[in-house]
Amino acid sequence: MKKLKKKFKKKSSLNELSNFVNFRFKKTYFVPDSVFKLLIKKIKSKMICARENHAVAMAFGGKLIDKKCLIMMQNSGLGLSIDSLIGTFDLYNEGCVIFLSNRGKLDWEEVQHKKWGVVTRPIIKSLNFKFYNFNNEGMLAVKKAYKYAFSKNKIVIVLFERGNIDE
Amino acid sequence: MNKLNAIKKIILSNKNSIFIISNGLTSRIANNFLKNNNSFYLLHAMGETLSVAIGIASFKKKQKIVVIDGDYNALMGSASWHHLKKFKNIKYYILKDRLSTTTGFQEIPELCIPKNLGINIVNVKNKKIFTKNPESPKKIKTNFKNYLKNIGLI
Repeated sequence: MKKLKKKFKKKSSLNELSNFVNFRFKKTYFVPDSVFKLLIKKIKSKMICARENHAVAMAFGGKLIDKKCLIMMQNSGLGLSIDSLIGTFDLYNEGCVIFLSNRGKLDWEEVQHKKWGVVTRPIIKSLNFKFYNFNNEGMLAVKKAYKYAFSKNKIVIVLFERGNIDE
Repeated sequence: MNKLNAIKKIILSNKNSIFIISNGLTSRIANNFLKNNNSFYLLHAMGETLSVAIGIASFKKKQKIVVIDGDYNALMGSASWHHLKKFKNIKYYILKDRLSTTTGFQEIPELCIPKNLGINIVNVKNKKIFTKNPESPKKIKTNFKNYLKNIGLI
């Protein structure tokens, strides 16, 4: 019988990740996801948003006054955010970092997440957005994403798998 | 009142403000006939005008920020309306003609506006005004950010 994979390996402590976020980003605009549940608690300056596309637009407003903001959402939120990302950061040539949880990759996850687990990476690739894999590189992925986004003025996604950080 | 005069009136009555102007005919008219460097013109990002302003307001609580939105854009962005309670430095105007003008004048649903958010509705006439697209995103951003630097906002 096939053994179900419970979760991916832990790649960073919450403290290390939240310290980086609190030090480097002026504010985090987010739509909650359970993968980021404990991380959100540790972020000092944050704003919950009704929809992911609005989180993107708010972070863009922040960037217009030179504040580097983080956007955090579940992979399904990427679907709502694409037009907003293209119509703000991409069109006006500004950089941003998005923490994206890759829900739907594990066998036990609910059926409503499955499709997003399959299509998330192809969608990111088709959009030609730079992305780093937290599951492979841990904190280095976040550091690289930050540097790339704000030195090249590009949209950069950091993809988190379930289990990579404490939930 | 036509859309051009409505936008002109809003700009003249809000001195010392910065303006975030929605995509579609609103940005086209404002950029082609009333261009100023203290305005940021959205070219796309439908329904995000208010959210962009909220992003600025969340750092600059004393700066007066005026949002000029079309009613269809406002409808799309209505999930952000609740933030208006928190950000008193945002003045939100919705130009209401109940039409999606740049896509062929389709009729749109009536907005249901909560009374306690201070949203300003300006009824505008359904006059056809054909205007070219606003200037390039690069120019829009450069002019706006230079203005913000000059007033010490960044």
